[in-house]
This record gives sequence, structure tokens and C-alpha cells, in this order.
Amino acid sequence: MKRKVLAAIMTAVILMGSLTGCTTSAPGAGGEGTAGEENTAADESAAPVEDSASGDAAEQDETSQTHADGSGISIQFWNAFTGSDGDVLREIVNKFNEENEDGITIEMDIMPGATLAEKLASSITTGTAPALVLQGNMDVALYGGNGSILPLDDFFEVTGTDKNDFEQSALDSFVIDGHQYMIPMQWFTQYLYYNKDLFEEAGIEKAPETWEELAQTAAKITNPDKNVFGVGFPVSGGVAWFDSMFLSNGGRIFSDDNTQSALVSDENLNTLKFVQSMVNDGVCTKGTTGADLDNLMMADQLGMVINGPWMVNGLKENEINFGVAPIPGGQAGQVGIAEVTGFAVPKGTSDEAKAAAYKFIAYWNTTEISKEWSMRNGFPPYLKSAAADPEIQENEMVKAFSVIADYGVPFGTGLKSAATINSDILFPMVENVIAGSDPAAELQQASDKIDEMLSAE
Amino acid sequence: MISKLKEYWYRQDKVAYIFLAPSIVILFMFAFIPLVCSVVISVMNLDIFFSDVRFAGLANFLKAFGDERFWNALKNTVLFAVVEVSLQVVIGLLIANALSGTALFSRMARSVFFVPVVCSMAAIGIVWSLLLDGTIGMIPYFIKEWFGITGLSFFRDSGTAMGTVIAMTVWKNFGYTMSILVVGIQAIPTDYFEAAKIDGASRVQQFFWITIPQLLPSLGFCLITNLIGSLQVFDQVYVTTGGGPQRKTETLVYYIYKIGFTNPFDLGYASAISVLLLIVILAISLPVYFKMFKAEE
Repeated sequence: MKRKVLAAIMTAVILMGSLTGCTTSAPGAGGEGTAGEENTAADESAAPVEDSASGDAAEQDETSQTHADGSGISIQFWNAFTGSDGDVLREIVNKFNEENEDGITIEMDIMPGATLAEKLASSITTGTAPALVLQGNMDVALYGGNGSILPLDDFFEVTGTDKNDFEQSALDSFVIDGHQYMIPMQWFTQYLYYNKDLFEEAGIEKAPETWEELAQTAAKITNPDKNVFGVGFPVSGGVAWFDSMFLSNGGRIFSDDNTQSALVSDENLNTLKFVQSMVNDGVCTKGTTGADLDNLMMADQLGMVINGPWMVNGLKENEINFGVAPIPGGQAGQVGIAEVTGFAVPKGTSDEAKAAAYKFIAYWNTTEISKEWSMRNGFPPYLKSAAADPEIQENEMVKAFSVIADYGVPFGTGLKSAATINSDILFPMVENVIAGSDPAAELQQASDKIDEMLSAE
Repeated sequence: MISKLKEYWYRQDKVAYIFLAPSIVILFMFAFIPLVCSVVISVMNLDIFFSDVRFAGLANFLKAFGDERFWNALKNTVLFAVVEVSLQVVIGLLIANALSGTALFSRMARSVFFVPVVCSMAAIGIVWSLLLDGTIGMIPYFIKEWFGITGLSFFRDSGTAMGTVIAMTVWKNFGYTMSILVVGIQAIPTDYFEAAKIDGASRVQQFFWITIPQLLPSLGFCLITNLIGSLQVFDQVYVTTGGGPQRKTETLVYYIYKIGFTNPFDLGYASAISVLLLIVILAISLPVYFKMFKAEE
């Protein structure tokens, strides 16, 4: 009988865990993780993150903030630059810490994107958020819309930064209800990476300029004996390549005012059928994630892939002979989804800490730092003064990535669910199509889900 | 005053509460209070930012019933739990029976089988996803070299992903079940086996007619704890497949995490599914509990 009581108690305790989650250990490290994936809005796995006493630090902030202009204080800076670009970012932050004359110290904490989203949301609610974070333009509607981040309308006035030096579209992507919620940090769109060695072996001289050419090129490169695929499209954890493909083929995702789905159309159906036919022909990988495709590229087993600028450093480190070309075009020309990463100041940040954050944002947006970031990572400059710099104009990578001005378009501006529509509706849709589902049915189903999500905006 | 207090609390029937206090405090803080909070939040319209908090009644529950992703996750969770627990208990039982002796080999083998149990699921998940990776994995490579089968990608193929997650979990956990059952087997009086042997019972007969009936309480304990644990499966899915491919491995707790702690940060809906999960766990484990422990009496 005693044993029975004991078992009953133990069972009860374990049951409690089902609601509180105390039997599962902490979220583990990432199975996937594309190089510099901080910019991809889609599904990412996260690695265990040392909680670097952020709560404590935030408390210290409160007590040590004595100067109204932000001098002499430490602020926390969270971001998801887990790739090699994070090293460059850290160097620049360290340089700021040493050089700034106000005694401001930026304490940077880099964590995987999913972890950042998790920690940031709960820290904002509990008043322990850092004074500075990096977020994407697809996050601004959610965080700005519910007041989780502060409007930064007075940034240009306070810091004396020249507003006219910024590309207008980069600034506009962070405007919600007439308020400037974030200040740009970098921008990028999607590009076609190709393996020059595989191109040479197949006797191909130049990168494809249209999707049709891409399919033909892929067919020539594919070599099942060597496990080489012509092209790969991620089904999760990558850039939203399908958005670009739909738009370039004349299809649409939203209605003009972003209130309804416009997904069901002949153009989009043809696009999905086109992708499926490449998979059926065996020239396109099946069910691969962004991380899988990174691995394939690094192993010389993939001819072409669509990705952002952050892929460059990984390819260089692995000594891959690669080229970067503009994204292929369709019947409606070339279109690549443009994304902007920006600085945000979470709710609850004191005026002093905000002033210190402003100083760092202003420092970042000087021609000198903007140029350094572009030269070392290849990101296209969004400051006109940096873009006009002769060294920048001669840099091959920056030049390749600067086509953002030609074909970059924003996605789902003003929608809180823009990122979720990509990661939870459109990515699963293309995953199913690539796995062999009926494109028409998938399109209809995804469209219904988008409508449902938009009605809750 | 103090001596009076001492006298009161040192009484045998009172001192027990002092010893229990730390556990009770922890249980309250990390189990009972969150449990009550979950139930309360489940009837609220509440996101992680606490913006627009409203009473929602049963709306979150109704939403779950109409949500195909919820049903898919429920199906995956039950499938995982049933297959994983049965495999784990059967394998644990067979190995426990074989290794219950005190010979050096038995003791060493038991230690080896227990090693994965003490490793973290996250670490094991990463190791297995590297080993089984379709492009850089060692196991698909050898399968290709030896058997000429190409294109295997265990965690990425919708046909094999769930099976692979289950196999990995069984591999990690059966040592735990095994060690509990070994203790159970060792506790069975040897007279029973000797008597059976004299009566001419074979080893198989001994196993079915002595070992298993005598083990029922231990088996019941293993079944219930494993069932409850595996209905809450999360870590291995999070680390290896992220719920994919095609949501074939998306389980309830993983879905709860996706809703509550990533965009859309909907804690109300996530809590409602947690409460439904609690009901599912009760519905599955209570019958097992009564069946097993009734049998003991």
C-alpha cells in the first residue's frame, strides 16, 4: 500500500511537470544553423545560451545611470549575429567602447535568432530588456505596433546625423504609423551564388539570368554519380526565395493594401509547377534546409543557391571557387525581397540609456563605420556617402550586392505577421510542393491560411 | 518562547514538516503556482507582451479543436509516445532479464547501456543529426559504401523522420527502464525460480510466469513515467528536426513552444493547448495506473 501511495505521489509530481515544463531540460543546441543566419526570418534552431546575467546588468544600468546625456554608463546590446560578421561587429563595438569620449560601454550579447526572439519578448514584459537590439524590418510592425520598442523620431535631431544621407527606402521600412521605430544597420536582398568549378566542368560560362536558364544550367551541372545537384532551394531556415520567384514571374502574395491574400493565381501556380518539375527531374535538392544547402555548397556538391550576403565569408573560409550574380528574373523582370536590419530601443529603457544607445547608433551610421562594414562583409551600403566612396565602388563583392537598388522590394510592409507568414505558411507550402504535393491544392490552402492570419492583424 | 517553539516543532509528528518544507516550497514555486497560472492564462487572450489582455472564455480551446496543426501535433505525440514507450519497455525488459546477474560482464554491460541516460538530450540530438546527416553524415556514407543505397537523409525525409527520432529516444532512454527492471528482477526471491526449475519449467516459462508477474509494479512504474515523459517530448524534436519535415515530427509541446515563445507569442492559446495536453496525459496514464496498481493488490 505504501508503495502505491509513493507511486501516486511521484506520478502526480511528474504530471505537474506537463504543465510547467520542468521535466524537459533546456532547449538544446541547433541542428541547423546557416552561416550568419541572423537575417533570415524563417525557422531557426537555437543553441543553449548562457544567460549572461542580463537581468543583473539591466539592474545595474538603472543605478549607474546618472548622466542625462548617457555618459559614463553601460548598456546592453543584444543581437543574433552568430556568423563571422558577428566578429566584425564585436570589433566595431570594442572600438566604440575605447574611443567614445562619454565613457559609454556597450556590453554586447550575441545569441541565435530564435533565442533572441524568446528572450527579448519576455525581457520587455518584465522590464529587463537591453537598451539596444538589432531586429529586422519584418519585426517592426509587431514590436512597434504594440509599443514594445520606443519610437526614435528624435534620433536625427538629437545626434545631428544627416537624415538625407540614408536611402529613403531603408528608413521607410522602419516607419509604423508615421513614427521611425528603428534606424538602419544594414540592408540586403537575395542573390544567386554559384560554384565556378562545377560551372566550368559542365562547360557553362556565365550565371543564368532567368529562371528558365537556371533550370537548364542546373540540368547540365547535376551529376548523380558524384552526388552533385544543380540547384537547391531551402524548405526552412533560409531566405524567402519563393517570394522573389513569385513576384518575378508576375504573381503576387498580398493584395495591394496588404489586407488579403493574392496567392492563388496562374502565375504562382506555374511557378510552383516549375519548381516541382526541377525536383522531379532530379536537378534540385529535395527537403533540404538552409543549413543543409550551406553544407552542400561548402562541399562542392551544389551548383547554385539563393542566399544573402552573409554566405560570402563561409564560402571564402572553405576556399570554394564561387561567384555571386543577381537573382534570376522571370516574365515580370528581376525581383528580390529586400530586408533591412535596424537598431531598436526596447520599452522601459531609461532616457540616459537611450541617449547612450543613440550615440552608438550615430557612430554606426558614420561614413567611416558604414564603409568598414561594407568592405569587410560585402553588405551594400545604405548611406549615400558610403556608396559614393571610391574604394567601395571598386570592391567586387559590394558591387555585386549593390544590385539591391535595382531589384530589391520589401515584403509585407506593416504586417505583424509578415515573418510568420513566410515561416509558418509559405515555407511549409513549398516544402510540401517540393515533396510532391499538388501545387494547386497547396496554393489554395496557403492562401486560406494567409487570409485567416491577415484578418487577425 | 524559543524553547517552546523548539519543543513544539521537535515533536515527531511536526518535525517531518520541517524536512518536507524545502521540497514543498520548490514544488509550489515551480509546479503548483505555474500550473494554476497556466489554467488561468488558458482562458485569457494574452500575449507575451501583455498587450490587450482580455478574458477569452473557452475561445482558445475552441480554436484548438479547429486547428489542424493541433490535431497533427496530437497525432504525432500519441504516435511517438505509444511506439517509443512500448519499444523502450520491451527492450529494457529483455535486456534486464539477460543482464540481471552479478557477473562482471553483466555489470559492465549495464553501465554501458546506462551511459546515454545521463547524457543531455540536446547533445545526443546534435551527435545523431551529424551522424545521420544526408550530406555529411557518417552512417549514410557507410550505407552507401557497403550497400550502395544513396540519398538517405533520416531526419529530413518525411517517411523516416519520426522513426528516427523514436529510435534515437529509445536508444537514449532504455537504460533507465533497464536499470529499474534489473532491481525489480533481483528483488524476486530465487526460491520461485528454483521451485519452477524442479517442476521442469523452461527459462521462457519462468520468464513469462514468474518474472513478469513479479515485475508488474516496476513495469507499471516504468510505463507510467515513460508515457508521461514521452507525451511531453520536446528536446529531441527541437534539436534534430525542428518539427519538420512537413510537420511530421511536430509534437504538442513543440507546438506550444512555437506558439507561445516565438511569433505570434500567444501565451493564451499555448496555455490552452498545455491544459489539453494535461487532459490527454491523464486520459492515457490514469487507466494504466489503475490497471497496473490494481494488479499489484
